[in-house]
Amino acid sequence: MSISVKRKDPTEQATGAPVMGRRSLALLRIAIGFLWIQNADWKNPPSFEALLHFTKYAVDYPVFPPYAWIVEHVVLANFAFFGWGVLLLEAALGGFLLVGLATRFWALLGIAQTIAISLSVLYAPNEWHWSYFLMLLAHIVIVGTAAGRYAGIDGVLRPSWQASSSRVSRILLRAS
Amino acid sequence: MINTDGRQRAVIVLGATAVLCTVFVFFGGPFKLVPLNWGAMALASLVLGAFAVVAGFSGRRGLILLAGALFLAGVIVAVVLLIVGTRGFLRASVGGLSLWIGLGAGLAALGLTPDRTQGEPD
Repeated sequence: MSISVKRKDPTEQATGAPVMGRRSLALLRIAIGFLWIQNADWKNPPSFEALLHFTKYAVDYPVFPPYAWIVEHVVLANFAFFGWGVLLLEAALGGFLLVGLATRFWALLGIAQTIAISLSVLYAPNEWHWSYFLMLLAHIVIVGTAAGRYAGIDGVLRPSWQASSSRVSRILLRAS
Repeated sequence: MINTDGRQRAVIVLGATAVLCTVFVFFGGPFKLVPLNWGAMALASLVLGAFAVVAGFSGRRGLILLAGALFLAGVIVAVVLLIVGTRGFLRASVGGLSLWIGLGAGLAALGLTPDRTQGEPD
């Protein structure tokens, strides 16, 4: 009688995550990267007309009154600066999540941006609130599982960062 | 057959991503995941992506870093084009800019980080 023992995949032994689980996390991270890339595109400078339209929802349909006050008196009053900030943040979010570099850091920023978007549009007409809940959950999963370590640059470079004592490597190690 | 390590494969994949993403110029609606339109940006994606693939196969960190630097220089040019508000062939897209930020930063990180697991010096 022979007993066959199924060998574990080496990466599975190292990370504890099954192959399909790792692939699913990589797929989720890449898909969320594409979400930001595609949606950064309608933040068109210099007028940021569409972004202004949705930002005003925070004041017209307030979700959290202190946030609505900040939008009305700070954001809308300095909208060109705010528009460029959103454009660059969302463009960077898409790019970094797509390639999986410093993934946990960028996914945390993704959580913050998702909360800001939710506080602007959650009570607006014709908005499906679960879109924002799902977006938030996806970023939480990416942070919690450090999804850049699977088919991402974090996974390729972490061994070198771990072997280094430089400050940049330490920071990237935490961010990944 | 060319043998490549994990880093080289990552560089080749990033370069191939730049090339493959140009197919989105033919897409429209919800499936245009990278909002690139036919023009200078798509053409530059093809050229820089091909260069990154070559850099990946060569395995030379200098070339990989140069590929990343070229993408990041492209980001700066694209931002300037967005500020100036160009149209037609030179029109920059924010989606393309986003893709280039990721590819540029990724390639630069791969080019700048010595392989300390192989005892490579800084």
